[in-house]
Amino acid sequence: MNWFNDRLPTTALVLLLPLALVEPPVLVVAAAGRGGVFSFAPGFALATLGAVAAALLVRRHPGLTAVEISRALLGRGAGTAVAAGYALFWFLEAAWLLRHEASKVIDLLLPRTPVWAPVLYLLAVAAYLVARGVEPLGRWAFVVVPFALTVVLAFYVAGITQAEPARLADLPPGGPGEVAREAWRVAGALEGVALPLVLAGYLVRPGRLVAATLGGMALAFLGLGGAVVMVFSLWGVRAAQLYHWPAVVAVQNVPRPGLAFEKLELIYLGVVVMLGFGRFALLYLAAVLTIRGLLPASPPLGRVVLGLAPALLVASLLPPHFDALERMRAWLYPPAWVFVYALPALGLGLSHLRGPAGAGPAGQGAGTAWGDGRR
Amino acid sequence: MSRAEKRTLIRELTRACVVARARLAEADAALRRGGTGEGGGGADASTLLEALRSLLGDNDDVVFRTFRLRRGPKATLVYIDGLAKKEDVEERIIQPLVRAAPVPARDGVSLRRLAEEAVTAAEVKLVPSLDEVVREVLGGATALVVDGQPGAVVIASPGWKGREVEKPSVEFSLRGPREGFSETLIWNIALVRRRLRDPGLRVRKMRIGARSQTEVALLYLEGVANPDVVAEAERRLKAIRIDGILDAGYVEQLIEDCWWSPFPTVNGSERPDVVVAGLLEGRVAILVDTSSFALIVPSTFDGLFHSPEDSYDRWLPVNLLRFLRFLASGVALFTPALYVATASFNPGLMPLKLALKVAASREGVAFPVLFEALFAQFALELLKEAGFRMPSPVSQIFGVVGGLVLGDLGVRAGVFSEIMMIVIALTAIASFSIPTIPLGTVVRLLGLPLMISTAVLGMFGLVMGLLAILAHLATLRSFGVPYLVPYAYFSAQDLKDTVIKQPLPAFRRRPTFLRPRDAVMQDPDRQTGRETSR
Repeated sequence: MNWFNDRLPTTALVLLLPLALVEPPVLVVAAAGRGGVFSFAPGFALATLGAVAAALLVRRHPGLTAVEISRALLGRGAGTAVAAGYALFWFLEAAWLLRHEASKVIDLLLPRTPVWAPVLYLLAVAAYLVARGVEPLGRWAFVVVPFALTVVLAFYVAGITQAEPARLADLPPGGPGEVAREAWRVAGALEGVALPLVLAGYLVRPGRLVAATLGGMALAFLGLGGAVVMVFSLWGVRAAQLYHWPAVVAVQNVPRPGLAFEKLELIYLGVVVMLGFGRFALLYLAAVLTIRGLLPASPPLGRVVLGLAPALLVASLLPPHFDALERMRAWLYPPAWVFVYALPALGLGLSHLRGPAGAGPAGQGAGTAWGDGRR
Repeated sequence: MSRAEKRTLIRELTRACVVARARLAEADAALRRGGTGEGGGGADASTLLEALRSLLGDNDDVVFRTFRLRRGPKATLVYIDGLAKKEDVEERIIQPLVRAAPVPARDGVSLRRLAEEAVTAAEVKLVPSLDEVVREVLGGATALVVDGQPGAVVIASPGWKGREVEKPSVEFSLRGPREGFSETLIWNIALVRRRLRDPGLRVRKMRIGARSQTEVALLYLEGVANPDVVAEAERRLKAIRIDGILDAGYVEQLIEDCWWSPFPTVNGSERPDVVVAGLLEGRVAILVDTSSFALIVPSTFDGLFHSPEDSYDRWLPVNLLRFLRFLASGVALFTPALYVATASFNPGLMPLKLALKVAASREGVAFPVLFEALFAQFALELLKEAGFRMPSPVSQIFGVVGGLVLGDLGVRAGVFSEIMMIVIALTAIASFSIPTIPLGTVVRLLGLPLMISTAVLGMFGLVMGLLAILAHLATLRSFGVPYLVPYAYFSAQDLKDTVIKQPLPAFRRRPTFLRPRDAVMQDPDRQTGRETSR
């Protein structure tokens, strides 16, 4: 007897979306470029639209997984091809993030440790969690995210109060065109907004999906926006680009009057590791769920997780140095625009053209597992 | 004994077993043919007696007492000396039967009439099968077999000595009832019934253990407990296949959700008030004969931090103490690992003066921080374990003297630093302040891998260790209920009794994660007296 097995209340998105977006802020800071907050704001707005598009698409197909939605809209062949593309995209994103988080740990905490050690540790714990399915990851997020967000926000607020807000007003020399390009890059760095697609088949009460998505984006905006505003207001847009880990360095350099401990940033780093791990686990789960949906016999989740783990390990260790990792990131932007924004928007349009959509199989989603059947 | 002799012995024993089993089956079949009805053939009684003698007669404590009913046939009582009360057998069974009015010949002697009219014991029943007669006799009852009558009358005559109801030995509380369970199931059930005079309280008894035939009782409140939980508990109990159940701990290990998890997913208590509180919330209790601990399911991680007196004290001091307990578990889990991390990787995390003191105190220590911490933890566990095994007057002195001597000499010899001693003392005190003993042990146990992880990867290792523990907790369930509730996506209603406990008037509904049939726990109208005044 397992109540609530493999089901997430739709409101879980309110905490899972920030988990998928808040770390690492360096991506957004780098993507915002010379536009600073002027690029970040429209970029985040675009990401919010992407998240809403994904949520609306899922709401039209309650109980269906991403693969099933893709097949329902595009037919078996094309749908499978698109789903395979999604699987590869999530896999590459997960591999990149795994290496990125490990590199951060090496740079900031363990300079003499080989990178494979944190990679292996992150991968092992994430594999254990992901192999248990969507629901345990949701519960884990419910415990970790409120704590982690509170801590990082406290640091960002402390940083912002010590900064120079006038630095935020630096307009990029390229004008609106440059801002638009950078906003587009910011949106590309926020691939986690497609999360509703991944969790589609496991959500109950899809009626609240859009509200939950907007709530999640609002929380994510607090966490991510706090980091971006702190970094840009401390150094200005140009100086901020020089740092590998701008948020961490900012937290390190902010004086905190009245506190006896000098190295509070270690606590921040601990929380950042938690958030980074959570984001990686979500991307890993996304890859695993999509791949499992593509496999004919739908094998147990644990087997897919174990099968994918060595591939993730190898892929994450392939970039020989940090520059290669950054180049890999740059390659991931175009697929992000396609898979996170273009395809869900296209799917939503197609879905509307085809008329009312059908629900998933009995017992899937739609509140049945929670026993109340409310929408 | 040579190998050939051994082989012969085994062959003979096997043959004897086969013969005994065949005789038992024959006797049982004969008894069943005769039924329990009146006036069966006399051979049935003799077959039954013969089977009983062959099964039990080889024991010196089994008594076969034969006597003649007044102007009637012979009867035999079978009971076990020590398990059955001799005075009861004498006064309530033999005397009434010997002095009973003679039965008219035309009616014949019937077991039913004897049971109804002659025997004065409180609990009497007719039993047709040999298996059941044997089981009842081994449980302390007395069997009456009458010549010419099939089956037997089984008369309850419990006379074994058991521990009286005493104070709980593990779950102390400053306030609240001082009664604890004993090892006798019926008394334990009575202790629960005394506190819960609800006709909906259901007690389902079953025997578990192929050889021990231990009585196990499943208790729940009908109309409150979710039937799915009750059915699941019953299913898991009935699925147990083991020779013997010697304590509730056996049952706990055989019905828990995750056998390899260090966290207990079945709650145990030796207090009837805790069991009743659980039943009132919609949980299910399992009582085991010969065990003074009751099991309560489903169990949650949060529940491990609750102490019985939390319900009896006012909410404000309770909150202070409960917060302290949560904090203590964190201290017990993290302090040694944090010490390893700060001393070997990130001394900057400490205030400068403390960092200098730590460095100075570690100067004469011969081992790396990890080994120092492991030695100290090992010494602590050793002292604790030895203290438990010693007679109580000696154990206290041993604990104090052992701790002082070991600590002082350890520091002087360069095995531990003074700071390490403080860390370990803090860990021990914090772990013992957790109200659930298994959780205290688990917390100290998990401190070891956490220490190793931290020693290898510093603060990153510590955070990853914590994340791994959280991941494991998130995957655990207890009888279908996620272990981490109510911290993860449940109604705000369920958060009333977590790290912060709200005042008792706020508890109007039962925990929703238990899905109780009757959600209302407290009727505000009744509480304010409005209902009675109307």
